[in-house]
Amino acid sequence: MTEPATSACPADTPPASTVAVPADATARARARIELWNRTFRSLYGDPTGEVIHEHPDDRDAARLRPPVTRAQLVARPHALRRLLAPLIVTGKLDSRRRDPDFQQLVVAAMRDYRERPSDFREALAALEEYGRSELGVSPDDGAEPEYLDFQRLLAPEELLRIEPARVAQKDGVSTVSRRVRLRMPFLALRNYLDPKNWLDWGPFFEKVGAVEGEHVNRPDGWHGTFEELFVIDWSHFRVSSFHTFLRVDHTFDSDRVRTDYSLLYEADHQFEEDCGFLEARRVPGRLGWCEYYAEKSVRQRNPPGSLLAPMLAAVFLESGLSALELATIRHNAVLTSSPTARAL
Amino acid sequence: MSSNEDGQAAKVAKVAESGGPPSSAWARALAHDGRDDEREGHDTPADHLQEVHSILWTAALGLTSQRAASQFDNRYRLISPELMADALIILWVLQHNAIEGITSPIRSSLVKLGLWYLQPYFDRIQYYAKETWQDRTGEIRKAFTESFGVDSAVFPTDGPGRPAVPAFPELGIQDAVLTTARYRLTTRVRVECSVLHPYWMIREMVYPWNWKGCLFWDELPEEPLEVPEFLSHEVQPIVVKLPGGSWAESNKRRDVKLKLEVVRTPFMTRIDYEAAEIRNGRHAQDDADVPQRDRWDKEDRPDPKSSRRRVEVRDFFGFMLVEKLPGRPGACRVVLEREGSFGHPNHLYFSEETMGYWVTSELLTFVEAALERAKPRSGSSAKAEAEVPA
Repeated sequence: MTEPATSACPADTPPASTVAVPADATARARARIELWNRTFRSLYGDPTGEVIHEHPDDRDAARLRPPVTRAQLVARPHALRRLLAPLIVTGKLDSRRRDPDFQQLVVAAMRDYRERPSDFREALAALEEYGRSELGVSPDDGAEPEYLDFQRLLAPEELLRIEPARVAQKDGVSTVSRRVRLRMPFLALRNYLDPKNWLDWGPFFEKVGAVEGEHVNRPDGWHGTFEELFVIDWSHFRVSSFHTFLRVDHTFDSDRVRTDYSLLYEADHQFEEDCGFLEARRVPGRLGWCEYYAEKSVRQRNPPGSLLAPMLAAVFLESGLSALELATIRHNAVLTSSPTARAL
Repeated sequence: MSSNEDGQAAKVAKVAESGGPPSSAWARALAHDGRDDEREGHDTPADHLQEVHSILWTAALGLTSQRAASQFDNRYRLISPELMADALIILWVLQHNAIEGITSPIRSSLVKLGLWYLQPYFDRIQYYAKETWQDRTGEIRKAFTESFGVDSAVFPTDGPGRPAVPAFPELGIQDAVLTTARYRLTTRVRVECSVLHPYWMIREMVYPWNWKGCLFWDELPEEPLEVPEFLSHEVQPIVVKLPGGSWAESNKRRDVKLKLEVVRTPFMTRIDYEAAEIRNGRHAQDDADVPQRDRWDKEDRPDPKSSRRRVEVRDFFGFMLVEKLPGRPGACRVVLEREGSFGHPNHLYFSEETMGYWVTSELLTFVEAALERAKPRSGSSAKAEAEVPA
């Protein structure tokens, strides 16, 4: 990375900051490589030029696609069968469960397999048979469920996508927004939106923190200068990194929390615009639910970067949303009693 | 500074030495060049303020309104374009030349607003001025250029390129949009803009005790020692000063009962209010009993219809909102909306323009006053912001 230019930059050397650096840097780097690989492959094919032609359901769809919700998996019986059957045959998933969520999953998994089962018992038997005969799984085999996807399967609906993702581009500024509802108490969700906790939002941050001496704490939040180091890796190569200084205003009351941010400068002047906000508020009439909305606008200085900007912003929001969903699942009392949640 | 402005400043200084009160009447004194003023009575600061108020209002209506205005009842008469131009340029000089002992009677943003309103009519003013009084359009064009950073000759006078409310960079006001709608009985106006100042600096502008800069309001309530997060209050009476004419006659001050509710949160502060004129207020008296000095023709008798007590500020209601702008830390969104009606034909006929001038002048003066209040605290930014109240 080149040295920051001195002309437009407010300070030649970045000011001292109370930066939070992740302890598990290696694991995060690995997760970051996987995240960006997955994204680049989905959008542009393999780095070698090979384009993916296989149907996502025929591959390990749950890993290759961006994180999906339970509703999306229920709509794919084929993937659902392949995920559930080994777990049931090997006993990792207790087939004596009779809760509605489990029954719904089993019935959904077998609804287009040969003859449609008439009830849950038939569907369970057919699923076990499918696992033994079609997949060749025996009760002595080991099955390692992907924890994240497994939780999504067994969880009741934690996240409702009430609005499609919006991507707009005007005058070179790409704006991406997401709106969902999360089953999470407001007080628990409030801290996640604090920029000081953005390391939990995904592996793309190498460090975040408020600049020391340039932020003010208030009873209803804080505001000031904030710095972050956002990196993009493709395979083992670092494609780019952005050392961004933002003006941030984090505000909350008993009903709403919002973090506004806008670009002060980027150390290498790679951004012309980077602003947005994250907001969560209680949903009237839905106890324990919050509505979450995120919007981000980016304009990069170099034209290739501008082409990638909508994708970067979208991946950032999606990945953050996925982290938020995972936090929701972890927080949920129903799941903390499940074996998978205990394993986590 | 040009020689014209130098000369103007010298004139103003000369008047100041004579001990005259600071007012727009200097404009008349300087512009008339010895023209006799036959009107009775004496100039007082309130009269000068009323005249400036009327000048800005007339400028907001535009010169085409001169013919349409009611002529038989001159209490709220419009001001002539020559006097408008003269007064504005004098006020401009007053505010941009530090002359000891002289202060401008109104806020600088209102003078700029007047220049903005008049800009489409500079040519016509020049045409009138050649026939009658001294031509000051050169100075007024220069003042416009210095105020808005663009030459008035090349700036659009109409159409989408000319917003109803300009940007005021010194106040941080930008992207202002003024919308009006006229209904059968009432008129609704709404002005909405972004203000590039932190929320804590300008949120106090919604409280009535901070409305002092606006020429429409007077006798405002005292600021309480402690302001709760939710305030429900009734202010009675509060005075609304209607624009028109050159004299601050008592019946131009209308006593109004104001019911208000203010909600303050970390994200927004909003006042909702409704108001109605008090029929038997302190200034309610027969118009025939009040010396109508704004009447040009002494032979005219007051119109019988105007000789009775009538309501001139009909019921109005609205809200004012200051909220943090999402995605723009350090900036706010300000909305002012009001719906109501008037009694006098000159206000009623131009109700959209009058209400538009009302809310626009409120926006400018309230923001300017809020910034002045916050100025001592913003000397050292971080330290001052640490004192931000919850």
